[in-house]
Amino acid sequence: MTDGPRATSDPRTRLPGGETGEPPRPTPAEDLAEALEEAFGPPAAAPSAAAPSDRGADADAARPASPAAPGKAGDRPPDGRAAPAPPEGREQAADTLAPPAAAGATAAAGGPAARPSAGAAATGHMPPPAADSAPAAPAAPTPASAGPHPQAGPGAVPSDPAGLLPTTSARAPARGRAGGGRRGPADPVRGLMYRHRDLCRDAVDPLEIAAGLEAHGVTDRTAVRYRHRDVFSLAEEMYVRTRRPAAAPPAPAGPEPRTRLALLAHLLPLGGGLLVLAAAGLDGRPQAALTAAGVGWAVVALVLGSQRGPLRVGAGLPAGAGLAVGWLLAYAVYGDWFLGELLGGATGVTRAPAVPYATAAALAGLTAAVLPAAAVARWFAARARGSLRDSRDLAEFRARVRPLLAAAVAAVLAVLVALQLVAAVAGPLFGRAVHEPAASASTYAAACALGALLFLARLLAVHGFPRAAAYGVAAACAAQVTALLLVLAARVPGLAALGRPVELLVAGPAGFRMATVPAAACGAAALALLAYAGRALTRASAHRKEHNEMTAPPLATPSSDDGGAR
Amino acid sequence: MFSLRIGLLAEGGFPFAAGESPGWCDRLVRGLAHHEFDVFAFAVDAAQESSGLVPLPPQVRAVHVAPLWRPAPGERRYGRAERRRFAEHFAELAGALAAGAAGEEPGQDRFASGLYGLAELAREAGGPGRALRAEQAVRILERACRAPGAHPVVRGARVAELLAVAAHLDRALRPLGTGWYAEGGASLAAADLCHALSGGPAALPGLLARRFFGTPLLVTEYGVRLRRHYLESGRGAYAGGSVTVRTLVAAFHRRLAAETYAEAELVTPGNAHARRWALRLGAEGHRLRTVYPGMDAARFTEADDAAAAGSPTGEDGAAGADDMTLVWAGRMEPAGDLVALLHAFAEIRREEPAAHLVVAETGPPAPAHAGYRDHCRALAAQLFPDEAADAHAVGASPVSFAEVGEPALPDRAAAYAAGGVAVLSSVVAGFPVGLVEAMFCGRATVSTDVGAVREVIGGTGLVVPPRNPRALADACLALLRDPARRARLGAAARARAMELFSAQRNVGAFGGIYLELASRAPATAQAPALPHPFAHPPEAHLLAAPAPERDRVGAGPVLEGADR
Repeated sequence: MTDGPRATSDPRTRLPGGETGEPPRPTPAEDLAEALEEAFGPPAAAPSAAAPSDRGADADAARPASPAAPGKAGDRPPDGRAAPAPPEGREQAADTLAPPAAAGATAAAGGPAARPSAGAAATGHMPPPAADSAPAAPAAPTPASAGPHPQAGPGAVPSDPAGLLPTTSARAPARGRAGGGRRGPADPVRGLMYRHRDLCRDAVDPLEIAAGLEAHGVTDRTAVRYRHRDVFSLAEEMYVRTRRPAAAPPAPAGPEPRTRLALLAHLLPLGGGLLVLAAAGLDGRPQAALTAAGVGWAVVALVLGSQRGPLRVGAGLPAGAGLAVGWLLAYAVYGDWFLGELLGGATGVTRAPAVPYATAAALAGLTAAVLPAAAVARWFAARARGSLRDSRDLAEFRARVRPLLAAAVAAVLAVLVALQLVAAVAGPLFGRAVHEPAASASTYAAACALGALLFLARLLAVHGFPRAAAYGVAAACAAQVTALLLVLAARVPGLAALGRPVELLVAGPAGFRMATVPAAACGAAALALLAYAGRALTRASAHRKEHNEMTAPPLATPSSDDGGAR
Repeated sequence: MFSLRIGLLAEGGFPFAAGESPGWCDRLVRGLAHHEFDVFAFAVDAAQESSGLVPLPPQVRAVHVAPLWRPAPGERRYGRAERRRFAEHFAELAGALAAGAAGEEPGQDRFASGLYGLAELAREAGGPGRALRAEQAVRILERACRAPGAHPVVRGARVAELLAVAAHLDRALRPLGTGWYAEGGASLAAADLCHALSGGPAALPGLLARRFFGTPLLVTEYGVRLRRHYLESGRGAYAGGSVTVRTLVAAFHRRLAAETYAEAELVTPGNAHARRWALRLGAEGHRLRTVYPGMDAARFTEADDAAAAGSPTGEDGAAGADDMTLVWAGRMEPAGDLVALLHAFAEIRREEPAAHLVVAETGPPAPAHAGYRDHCRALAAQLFPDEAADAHAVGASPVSFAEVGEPALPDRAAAYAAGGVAVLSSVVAGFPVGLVEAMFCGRATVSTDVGAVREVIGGTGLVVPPRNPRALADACLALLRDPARRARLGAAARARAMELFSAQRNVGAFGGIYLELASRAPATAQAPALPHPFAHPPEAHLLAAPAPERDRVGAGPVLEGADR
């Protein structure tokens, strides 16, 4: 506490709200100066920094009045508003008059904001200025430092201006500048805005800036330095003055994580299909066993594959939906044979079930289509989400998604047809002559219809319409069951007419085409689902994801800022 | 003693075992054992919901938990007429959210009417969650954003953003569908008073109870819920930081806060800082009453007693080794600005070579700030090499780091007892808990002028500007060199803390507020068997009382001229 520079900085320890450094008594002159200032406010046109008002003498705080500064006109002393230029001149004047005094006085600015609470302090009293003015005297030996300034009103009281008021840290750079003759920035808020430019740019309203500023330690006391009453009005100015770019479209989300496991899971059903195909080369019981094993494999693989990846369905799938799909698959394997027995045999079903090559090949093609179907579903979901981002309104979104949906369905159909063609063509390669081309064709068509139905149902279920999907599949089942029952009922004497529609359906120019029944049932259901999907899947809400990046963040636990709440 | 049924409304924290443990709620419930409490709590995540509850005293009659993080299981699809009602009210709400740029907010009444309309619908037909997830809600939001007078930012809202807003509103409006507003059963109808333990979602059931049953609402805000929302909803929070979404969501929370402040009978902010926010959002000054958080003083009194026994009173001026020790306690995070303290301590050492500094860590720093801790330790090692008394002694650094919980420092009280002066050097603080603890311990303190420090310390300690090591050093030196003043300040600080921040005072304040609010509200129609305070006008107890007017039978006392 003996060296000069330290002495001038000492006033900073005597702080608002607290007791002060050393306890010497305030001199009557200082009391008078203080009382005068409290009575009349900061000297309005104080050309000398010796009568510091926090804002008036604050050279670095002087800036051109911004048009967008709500609520701060009242905070600003008249000189600060009327003439932004004077502070610098004033400072220079102070410099030329008495450099050490100017330094000390500038350092002493910044008190008024802090003073009310100093007064409110229970045991604290105003900082007794003489504490450090004594050590300061050697550093500022010129009489001017303590002598009266002719221009200053209250400042004319012969006292050490440096000790007049407590100060805040912000004055330290001001002092340095005053001593070095440098100017402070004309617009301190601009600097603050630059420092918090991210906050200002991203804020959606002034309160957000206020919250951010407070989180960075800006208080109402600090805001006073920027000539604002409080942080809120400072934040308002910052909000209004910030130039924001136009709202950019939301950033594209990353693609769904594609796992190798999901790829494998979607390939797995093909194994079951191949088993069934292999079984078609056998006869009797081994064939039945191997076929059952293949179908079971395919079902398990399908269930596994739909646990993840683009075919995953959340909650809401009715329990019966799985049964219905199981029935459809079982019918695809043995339905044709069963219907043939019902139609042809008069004594009921007695022969061992047989799976012709065409059926097995169609099934194998179907299982091979799972992977492309999953890929298409994934593509559709991703493109639809992209359209969500890009669309400016719901009508536009609908217009964008409708062709997507058509393309997806067409793609799956094309894949199905292609696979069935491959299956049909591959038949002779296995040495298995296709005896009835017409019957085989209907089998392949039935497989295509079944594939399309399952794909559409799954797509609907994935996008939040599990009930509709279940209804579609169940309707196909019901149609098949009805066909079987009708044929059965036709055996009752007098009710032969009941069986006519089915017989007409399966009767072809070159023999029976049993597969037309499932083809018709699945095709009709698929068409109905397609019509429904045309409406449902073009809604924006169908592409809302429960837990995607668009939903709200989890509410955090109360932060430590909640202080007392512990 | 009269008994009231208090509906405690909480979001996260109390009474769940997982979550920040708000001890004050527990103390409140235990301290006001003559009242009955029904706790209505929102679980904010799955872990919290499955974590169970803290042990509760018998005066807590029931705890009703509703999840905010998932849709309520009972949500059903609205019928045609209900959908029409939903569309009407939601359009009001969405219109209010989309309307209005900055500045004075028009449309608060639209917001309120939409909110209460939805609440009534939810009361009759279940929560609006499914309707909010359907296409209709998106369409209504779209229309609101395109309407004339909409905020310029939201005019170009894209479909994805509308969906995100709908998803957020779904979550924010889940309190409507809790089923707490039916007559009887697990209902707020039976409560005489609703006490929301924080603003925001927790206060929403209180607003609705006030609307449906006229139950008075008391909102306590120790941290400003809206401010927390702003801090958490910054860039990247929604839809990759979409300004549109954040604007609409912030509008919802802002308007909800404004509605809460406007409707609550009384708001009790925990400090002047929270009070400023309430005032800013339109709370009326006479409905704000600061109730300082209470802290358990017993833990700290021993330290004070020890200090009183051991510390020199100043006449002899012989400072013990302890008295030349500064204590800093807290988490080593940038907000604590320990670096400034280390620099200040370097100056102190230059003047007072006998000074020591104890840095007591009260907990591990947040993972993001782990590097800061190492930085501080490295800086301390650099600035203060080990020193020894003579050539044969083992040296030690004047700055010692310790964690609270070590044998040497079993608890925080011990940490504060380890030194003569407690220092708080943080640059950001809400309510300075550590400072209050030091005050309870009777320590003279030097703190930075942040947050509510000035309000808390009053005149019983030194306050310096933040980020000013030299000022901090000077203030610490002043205290280190003056034991008498240190003792004086410590005693004053302790007296002030006991007066303002003791748990008893906090609980007592709320007890008084409960009675006051109940006295102002008309008694509920369904009188319980227990005698109910203020259920009868005072005249009823007089023998020659004038016959009460017909319309005042059963109504509470009408306080003319009271500031309602």
